[in-house]
Amino acid sequence: MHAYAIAWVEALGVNTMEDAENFVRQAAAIQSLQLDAEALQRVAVVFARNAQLASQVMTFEFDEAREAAPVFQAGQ
Amino acid sequence: MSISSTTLAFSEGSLRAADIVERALDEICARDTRYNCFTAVTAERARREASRLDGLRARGAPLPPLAGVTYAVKNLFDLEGEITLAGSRLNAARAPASADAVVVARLREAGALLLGAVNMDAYAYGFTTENSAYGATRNPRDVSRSSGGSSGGSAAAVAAGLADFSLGSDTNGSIRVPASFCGVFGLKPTYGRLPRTGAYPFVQSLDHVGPFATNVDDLTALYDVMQGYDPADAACARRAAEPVRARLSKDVEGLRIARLTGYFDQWSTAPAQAAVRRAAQALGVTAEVELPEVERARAAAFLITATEGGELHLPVLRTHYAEFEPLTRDRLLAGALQPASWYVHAQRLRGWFREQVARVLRDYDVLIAPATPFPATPLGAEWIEVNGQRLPLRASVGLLTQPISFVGLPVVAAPVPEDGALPMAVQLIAAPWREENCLRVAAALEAAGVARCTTVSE
Repeated sequence: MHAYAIAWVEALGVNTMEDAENFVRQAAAIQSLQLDAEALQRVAVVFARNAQLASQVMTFEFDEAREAAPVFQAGQ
Repeated sequence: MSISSTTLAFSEGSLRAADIVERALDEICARDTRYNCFTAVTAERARREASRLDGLRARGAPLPPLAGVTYAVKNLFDLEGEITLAGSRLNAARAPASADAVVVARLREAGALLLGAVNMDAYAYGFTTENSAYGATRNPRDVSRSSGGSSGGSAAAVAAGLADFSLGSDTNGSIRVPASFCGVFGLKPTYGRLPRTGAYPFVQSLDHVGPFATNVDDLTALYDVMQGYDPADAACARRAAEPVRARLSKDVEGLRIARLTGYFDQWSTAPAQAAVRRAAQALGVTAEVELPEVERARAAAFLITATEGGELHLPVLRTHYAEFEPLTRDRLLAGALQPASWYVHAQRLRGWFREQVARVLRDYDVLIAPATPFPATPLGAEWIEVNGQRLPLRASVGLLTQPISFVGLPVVAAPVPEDGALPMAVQLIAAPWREENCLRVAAALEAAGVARCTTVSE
């Protein structure tokens, strides 16, 4: 694994690089993105970090009626 | 020189605009090799603008409010006849802009003299202004350190005295972070207050524009000049301009001010906490308040940024991935691939968090927090330690700014320097559309000698 990726994974304390790489490979193909192996690994490292942050967000529960505020208006 | 002293000297005839411009251009030529602020110097335009002003004065015509004041803009603002780089090598192949960005046009009409465009992180996605295409902008307070970002060139140009003021943009902290690292004043107004038309976008639902200056009066004057509805920016509020300068008080009597604790203490180092203490002490602030779920709010801001930024650049990522800034491209691409559920849930959290913050702001007029977790970091650094936790530096500089811009609140970043130490700014945060409260507290801190900015002259 790329040294930078190892550092990221250690810092995050996660062990999901394989999952992240699989997701990125398939999602990139759907989006018509051509990534070589090295680029795919770098992107997967970032994706793994974002997944950590997403876990904080996704575990927060709302009232089902809460909208996603598709038009954001500050101050209201 | 301050805006008031420049405009006075110009109106009295002791300064000619042409001389102001030539002196400023000489300074940039002699000193910017040390800092690498400017990516384009608009010398001929500055001379034309100066000639117009000198002509106005010679004819005895009324002089505009910023007559003779020099400035630079982050290179994501359109300047007529110039290529809008947005920090990207790819953008260098674009056609020159056909018109000025709306805020630049307003400054031009107000008599400000444009010196050029300044450096930034590629596509504004960064906090350190380390740019592989245009070089790093070095911090005038310590050239071995970052100027912050993404508006690093804007803050550094003001700190170095190369321009009287500058413009930047702030999506997650890109005005407040470089203001803190470089020790200058910065204003991120309420989301929707200042028009963004002609400013290269990054994250439409988070992008703001705003000024950097060396003092609060200048910051206020610039804010006043740039206000006003712009129908071309869908996010720009239909509000009349609410000018502040003429009535800005320098005392805080009647204002309810509190220090933000919890998350903001957890993720700030000793110098950042000391800056907040100095400000709170000068203001006589003893109240403390905690916002709920700030860490989740910051995480949501991070995800929204990645998704919207990635989606914006996806077409070019498909064809020119290898030519993107290496520090940016992988984050943009990962963002473009994120599941939609992450984005939608983050937006729902945003609505919830906005309500929680609004509740707190019913009890307080201004909240104080550090602008950055730590002072300016060495160029090239990859990691930083905050209270015993080792963090990836570039992703962590905005820890304290992201939760605030997430809900669009107005903030003044006020430098609160300590002798012999690197600069550090505090965030003065108010309720939406209450920029006056932020500016008023900043003015009080400045009057007390606690908030201040001196430019570097070497």
